[in-house]
Amino acid sequence: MKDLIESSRLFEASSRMQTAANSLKVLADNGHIDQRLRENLDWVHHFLHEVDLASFGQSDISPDFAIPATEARPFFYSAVAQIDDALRASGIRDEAQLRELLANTFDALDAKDTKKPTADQLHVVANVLERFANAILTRLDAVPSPIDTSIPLVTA
Amino acid sequence: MRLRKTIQRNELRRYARSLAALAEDIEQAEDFATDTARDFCSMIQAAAELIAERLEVAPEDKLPWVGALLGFFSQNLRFPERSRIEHIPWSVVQAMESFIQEHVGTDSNFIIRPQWRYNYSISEDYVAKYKELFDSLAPWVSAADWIARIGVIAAKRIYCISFPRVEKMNILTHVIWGHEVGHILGGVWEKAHFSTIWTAEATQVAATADATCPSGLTAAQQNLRKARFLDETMTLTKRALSELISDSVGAHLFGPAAVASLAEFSCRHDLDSSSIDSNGYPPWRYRLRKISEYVPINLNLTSRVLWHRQLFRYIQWTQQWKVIINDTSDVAVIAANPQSAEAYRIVDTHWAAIWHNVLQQLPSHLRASYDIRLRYRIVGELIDRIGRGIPPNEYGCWPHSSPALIPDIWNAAWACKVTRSTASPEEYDENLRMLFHLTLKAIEASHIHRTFGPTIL
Repeated sequence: MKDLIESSRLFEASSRMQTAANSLKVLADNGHIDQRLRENLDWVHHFLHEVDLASFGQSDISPDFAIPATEARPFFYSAVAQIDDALRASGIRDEAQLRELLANTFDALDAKDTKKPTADQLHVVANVLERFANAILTRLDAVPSPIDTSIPLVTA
Repeated sequence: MRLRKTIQRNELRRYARSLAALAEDIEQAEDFATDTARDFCSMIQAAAELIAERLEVAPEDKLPWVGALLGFFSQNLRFPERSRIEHIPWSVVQAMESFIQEHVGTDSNFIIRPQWRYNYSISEDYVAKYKELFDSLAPWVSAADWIARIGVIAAKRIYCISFPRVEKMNILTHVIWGHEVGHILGGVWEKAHFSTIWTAEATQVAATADATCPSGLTAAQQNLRKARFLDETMTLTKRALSELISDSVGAHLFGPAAVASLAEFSCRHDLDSSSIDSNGYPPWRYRLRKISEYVPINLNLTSRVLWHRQLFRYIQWTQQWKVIINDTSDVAVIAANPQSAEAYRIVDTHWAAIWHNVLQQLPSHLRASYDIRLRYRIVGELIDRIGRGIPPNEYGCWPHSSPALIPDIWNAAWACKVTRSTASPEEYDENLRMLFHLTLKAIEASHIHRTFGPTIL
């Protein structure tokens, strides 16, 4: 188990994403979220942007997010690499489409008065965030899993 | 499933209540060396009670995070419980806390406890970490709620220093506590500066990840590999900087004694073990080379004539390690792995500025390194006291005697250990047993002398 004393940033990211997932479900059901929860959605939006390797190096990296994003990125890519039937049923076939869905959803939430995300879209994104949050929590709160050597990190 | 969630909530509440009661029980023990262990118990008690009281309004989906947090708190209780005086070299705890506080601030407090693993370690500040963790659960509970319950403890920093259980009385190896002070300064530096360095270097690291990527991977696999490459390189860089800063601070505080204790400790390990295989620790040869930069001593005819014979031989002994550090096989080991090569490129690029920043954290009168060349008379006198079976706690003659400083005591003791190492195994063990007792007594007595002497006299 990775001690929380060393992993408080990951714990925070994980908890914030779980809270964001709940917020999206509330919005999908036409509910209202308060300012604090909206700020948490902004935080998660920014965090996902920093985690995203597609935008890596294209804009300034925020020092506030640089370290937690680096720590969380392997969990994210590990989770999105496992696109299963549930996501495929929502029209998500690969990582690029998932990234586009996340970006479009959060951009639409930011825009507020223009095109709103659909309830289905919000539920799918909430589902993805929950997976991401749980993947991190499981690693923090469980016996460490064997090192995954299926993908070589070094050229032979 | 509703039933499962109801059970989960009820059990978490029961767990939190039990944890609070346990923390209170441990807090009642009367055999702690300082009040820090009780403060730590109070923190955990307050944290557990707060969670128990608020659990009713916690969002259902947040309960797994609450469980993880309670699990963390309950594991932390082992620190105060194991810091009772029967488990620790209690007679030097107050002296060491006072010495460390002088360098890192009087708001720093310590729990010293044994661990079965053969290693020294120090935690990050638990008060700050608990605040961060509570804020991660907002809005149903927050750090402000917890702070309101612990009062003045919230303004403290509490660290846990662990030492190998079997070395309880080995006060000479405990020189490594100086290295642990370095971790505190290193931690403050990391919080303030590391993200800036990493932000500046991450693009280069990502380019190296791309350049070393094997062919035949899907886009998803490439991204996962790159993400891991970045994370591993950052972890290696942080660990290397943390250890190198700490070693250098140890040398800054204790001079040759820091080199001696680290060199002796390194004999248990492979000198060139890759940091990839060593939980991120830098190769020992690299560490010994780096620490020797901060203890530059050129022995000459004057030192041969004026210095105590045992002190001179001790310094000669510390210089024999140059044979090891002149060999650069560790550099090849570092370069053989792209992540470690990148990590140590970053370390080498920024080291001078980093060390400058770390030193700035010390009060101005403590920024000059311990220099044995300025202390040789006093250390020589302390060596003579040890030779006569007297604790090396003071120098000079009463009423003009002065309490010895901890770095002088430790260097005198190390000089005695090193120069007696040719004795038979039985004599060696007996000499060391006596040396440990004299040194422990000296550190305690010099602290009492310095703290209460002016009042008594």
